[in-house]
Amino acid sequence: MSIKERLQTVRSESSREQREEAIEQFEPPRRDTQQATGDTRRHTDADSMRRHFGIPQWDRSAFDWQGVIPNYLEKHWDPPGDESVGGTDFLATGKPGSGKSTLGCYFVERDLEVNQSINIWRGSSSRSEWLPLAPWTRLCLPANVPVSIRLESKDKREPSVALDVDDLEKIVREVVRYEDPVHLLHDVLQESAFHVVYPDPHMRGCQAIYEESDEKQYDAPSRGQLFHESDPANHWWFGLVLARVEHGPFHWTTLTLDEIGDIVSQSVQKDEFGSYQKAELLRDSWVDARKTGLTFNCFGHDEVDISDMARRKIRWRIQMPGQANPTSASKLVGFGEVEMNSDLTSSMNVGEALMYTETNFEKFAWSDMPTPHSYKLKIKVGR
Amino acid sequence: MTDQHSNRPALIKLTHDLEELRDDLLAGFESRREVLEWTQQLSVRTLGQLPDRWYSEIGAQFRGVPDSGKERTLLSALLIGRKRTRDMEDSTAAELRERLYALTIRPAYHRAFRQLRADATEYLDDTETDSQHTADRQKWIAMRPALDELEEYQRTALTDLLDGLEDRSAILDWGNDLEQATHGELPGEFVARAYREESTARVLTGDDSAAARARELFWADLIAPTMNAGVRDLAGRTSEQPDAEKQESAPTQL
Repeated sequence: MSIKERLQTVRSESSREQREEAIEQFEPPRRDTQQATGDTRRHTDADSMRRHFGIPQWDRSAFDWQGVIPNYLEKHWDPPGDESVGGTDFLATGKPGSGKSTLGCYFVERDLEVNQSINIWRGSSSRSEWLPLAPWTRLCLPANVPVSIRLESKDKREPSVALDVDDLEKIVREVVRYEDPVHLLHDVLQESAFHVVYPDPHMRGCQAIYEESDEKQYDAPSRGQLFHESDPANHWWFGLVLARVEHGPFHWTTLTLDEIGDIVSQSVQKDEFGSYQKAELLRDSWVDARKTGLTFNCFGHDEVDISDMARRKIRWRIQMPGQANPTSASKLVGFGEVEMNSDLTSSMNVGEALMYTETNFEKFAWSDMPTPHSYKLKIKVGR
Repeated sequence: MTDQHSNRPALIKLTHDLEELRDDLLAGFESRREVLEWTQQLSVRTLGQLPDRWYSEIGAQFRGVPDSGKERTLLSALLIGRKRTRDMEDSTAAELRERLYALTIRPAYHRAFRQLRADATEYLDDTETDSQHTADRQKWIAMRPALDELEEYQRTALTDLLDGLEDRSAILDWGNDLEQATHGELPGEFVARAYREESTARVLTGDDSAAARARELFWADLIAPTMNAGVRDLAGRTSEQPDAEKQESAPTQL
């Protein structure tokens, strides 16, 4: 038996009953909202999420320091006081289990509620922390590529369940296909809605978008072009960010990058894929992102896992519980000083964290967003 | 006076902790075991500044008076009236306990204070109230987490011993906790001998009341003075860590 056949047998097909039994444990997709029907008399996706999870309305006045959390969350072209203009960003760090994923989902709801943004979550073959939001999710997959889908129980001894693409619409609101980053941004994504986007392993359109750019030019890797089919699929995200800041649409857009260290790690180097040049491209796009209303919500285990080039531009930080917040700026790239003079976070509970800027900090809390099942959804996009 | 805000809360914390132990002493103890637990706590909270000799003297009190089955005088005085086997006026016992505080523990507190004052960190907070550096919010002994860690080992070693060890191989595990609890001050052969000598192993693992009594003496006589020396060694190397037990204010709901 060849190894391919052997792999096939250990990953056996699932029966229809197994699939139905697994899918039944999910919340049914919500297709009766304003965003799903186009009927403006209906409540929005954000309202629907708030009702489902029992989240109160956003209240700016609850916060002591307007410059920290409200300034990050509310996007303005003409902001009150000396708050920031355009897109914002944060980097949240904490160990696994410290509540990062729930916080990521919670910020999605707040962003849809407050900014009516186009909300994008970086899909990855190994992670699906967005599943609490599955009933409202528009799942975006690259066109004309094979996709394999499995539901894996947290208990690894339970057999995983293989699904068809058609089964996905029993879990998420809609599955849509895109051809290239510009097609995705202009014709597929929707305002006030939440999207999980899986990258295109063929990098279709990325090199063309890069060649169109006048300002952003970098040394080509040895093969001659910056984006290439042979790149790791993650590199597609650099193409997407470039397409968004150069070609719009310039509606508020938020990109959640779970595990940002996977994309721009501290150890990024010049290689045959142009990894270093792409990190430079991201750094240079960061300023344009702010000016064009693109927000980055970044999550990672530790500051030092993430390239300085990305960290230097990030203006808000979140320290998750279980680790001490910094009390000096010495290890915080891009920060001249920090205001905390003691450890506020290491004894915090899950569901609480500290957000801070160079000038201030505020503790905050959010409620859990549970799912009725304990599955992970693993979507693998083939070539 | 000590309830006021202090910029050097470690010194206040030291004082508060020792005041609590003084009150326990003046009230008297319900059992010999409580006496042992109290002397253990006293060792860490005085930063090991009681003389090791004093621990040996207390240890000797656990020997009992030959042929009488009664405790020695000082141990009797430490116990509350209905727990004593020796005739003694309550007022005499109370006086003895107070003398013990005044002549032995109070001077150790003074030495501990002088030792700590050199290292106690000064915190200058914006507000005097509600600060997380307030002394009564600190959870570590003298604001030194290493001392809490040491105490945890001491408690475990003491409890496991007084309850009796499971079997002979448990002596080796217990020996490892003991190594931590005494901060390496045990004589080199100590655990090996406890394991090897039949009579000692029988005392450490025995189920009968004679073995239980012998284990109290074993701790008081052989381990407590060593443990005190270990505290003294560690106390000079620790660093300070503020850790408020209560949050200053509830986080804002996002």
